[in-house]
Amino acid sequence: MDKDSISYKITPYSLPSLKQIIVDNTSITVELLENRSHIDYLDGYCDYLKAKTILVEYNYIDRDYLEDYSGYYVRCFHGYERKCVRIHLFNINVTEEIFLELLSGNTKNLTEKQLDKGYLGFIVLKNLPQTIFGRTCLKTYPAEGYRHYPIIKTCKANIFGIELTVQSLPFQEQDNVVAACATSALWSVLHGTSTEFNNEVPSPYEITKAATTNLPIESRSIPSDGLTYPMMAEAIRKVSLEPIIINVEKHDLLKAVIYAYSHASIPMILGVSLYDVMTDKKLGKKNVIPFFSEHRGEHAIAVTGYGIDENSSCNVNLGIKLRSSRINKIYVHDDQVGPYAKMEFKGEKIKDHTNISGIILDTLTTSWLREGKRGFTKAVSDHVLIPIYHKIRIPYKTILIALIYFDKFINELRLLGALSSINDDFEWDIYLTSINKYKKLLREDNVLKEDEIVKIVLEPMPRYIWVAAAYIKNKKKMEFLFDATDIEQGAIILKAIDFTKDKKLKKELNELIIKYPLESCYKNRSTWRILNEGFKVGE
Amino acid sequence: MSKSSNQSNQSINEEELRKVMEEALTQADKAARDACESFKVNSSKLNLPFNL
Repeated sequence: MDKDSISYKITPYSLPSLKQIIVDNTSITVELLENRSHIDYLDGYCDYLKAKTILVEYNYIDRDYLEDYSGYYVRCFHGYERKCVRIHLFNINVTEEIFLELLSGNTKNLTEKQLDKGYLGFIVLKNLPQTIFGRTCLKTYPAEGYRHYPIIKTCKANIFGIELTVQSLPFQEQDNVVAACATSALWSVLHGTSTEFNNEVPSPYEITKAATTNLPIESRSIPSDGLTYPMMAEAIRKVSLEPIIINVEKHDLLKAVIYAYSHASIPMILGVSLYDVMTDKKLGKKNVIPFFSEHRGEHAIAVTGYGIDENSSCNVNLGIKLRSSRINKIYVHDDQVGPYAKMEFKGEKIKDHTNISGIILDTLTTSWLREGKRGFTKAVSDHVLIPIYHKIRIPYKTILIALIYFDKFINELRLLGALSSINDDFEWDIYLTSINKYKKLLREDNVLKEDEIVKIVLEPMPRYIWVAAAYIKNKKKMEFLFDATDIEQGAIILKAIDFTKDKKLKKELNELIIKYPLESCYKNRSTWRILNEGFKVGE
Repeated sequence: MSKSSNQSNQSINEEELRKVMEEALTQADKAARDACESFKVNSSKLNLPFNL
């Protein structure tokens, strides 16, 4: 049937039918499709989300692909298809007859609201030879108490006048021409930041162009050979955001940074080196530290969420106990796998033979396929690149260092028996947030007295703040608010809130500071700023 | 150095307190230095293109 003459097709969901739709509407072969991770991953996703119906929308014009098309493909001798096909997925049964009734205004068997409720999202298919997955907005996996997706937005789809919505973060596969993995990851990340910072979201073609304005003579921007961190930083600046880069070779720091910035709905690029580890068969026997057989190369992915095991123990890392140490997996938009792909911290290590010292590296699991199997490709993290609003000037490191000193100060007083209001180490919950989100949360938590809540919410505060809450056995004992928009030489501390019974902690600190010359023997400026300007001790 | 949390701050020996706090500051300095070290950018990785 001529695709131009039909508008849509509805079919029950099954893996063979999904494959057939993809093969029929793109230039990819079944063999190639099956050799890549995406289809297997999508089937797992559809199975988990209980997909029941596929609606295929023909002749779809996708803005992002159109930009790529006009920037590159239109000038090719071969006539590439300008229009796309969009696949919509539903977890309810919808037939051609029922959908036709809905289109005609008959809502006896199906309403727009029911269709929207059962909507799982869409996948745009680009008719290119190999790389076919265009803008994809799929519902996240259910939270189930441990999955956190703080970086999602309302993505709209309109099918013949029926508006459908899905809470998602757009994903797309690199096309190897106008976009490499870094471009695709950056495209997803900029979609994520647009909710909080209102930045524009360029197409992949525009991102690659913006990132490669100062290329060396031996390189060309398109076809793209991939982007480096400085190139990605350039593309971030072009949309009026500021890039910050943090070394995350240590998993503790990776977890801490993801946790802290995700809270403010800020996604980030994670750069990893991928290694194929030898199978047991090839290695001859099981090794505690597998040897890698091949360094596959450098890969960039967009971090979109994390999983946290609330029952795990909280370790002392980076100098203090951090709640983020309970993170046991992250969710990423990996353009070679799919949206919300899981990467786990399993404590697996590999030995880097390219390095003379044979350094042992911490790894994350990936869902990459090797010889048709998962589990043999490991990722070694190196840096995260975070696009932030220019007024967020105080980095995570400044807050962490201030808390290391404060934690040590309080803990020693506790161990001396000078503080009866606290009876264990603190577990710190450190995150960036907007003041409006914080004030909303304060009302919802309802832990403080009503008059205290009113006093705080009416207080003028900067747009972005760092929050550091100290817990003992899941009970909040105190909370510090730091001005994220201040300068590092400034006071930074905005407020300290005492959650202990009858504000005993503040009273005890007050007494100690009045009685003993603590400031002269614990000479740390940030600790005394927290105590004097946050807790207002000594007043 | 750990003592019962019931110990009143009235009975803290000032000299002991000074010693403990100075030692705590030394330990905090080391922890802060180690943490700062972890944040340092690895320049050998900066210009590798991401192209997988």
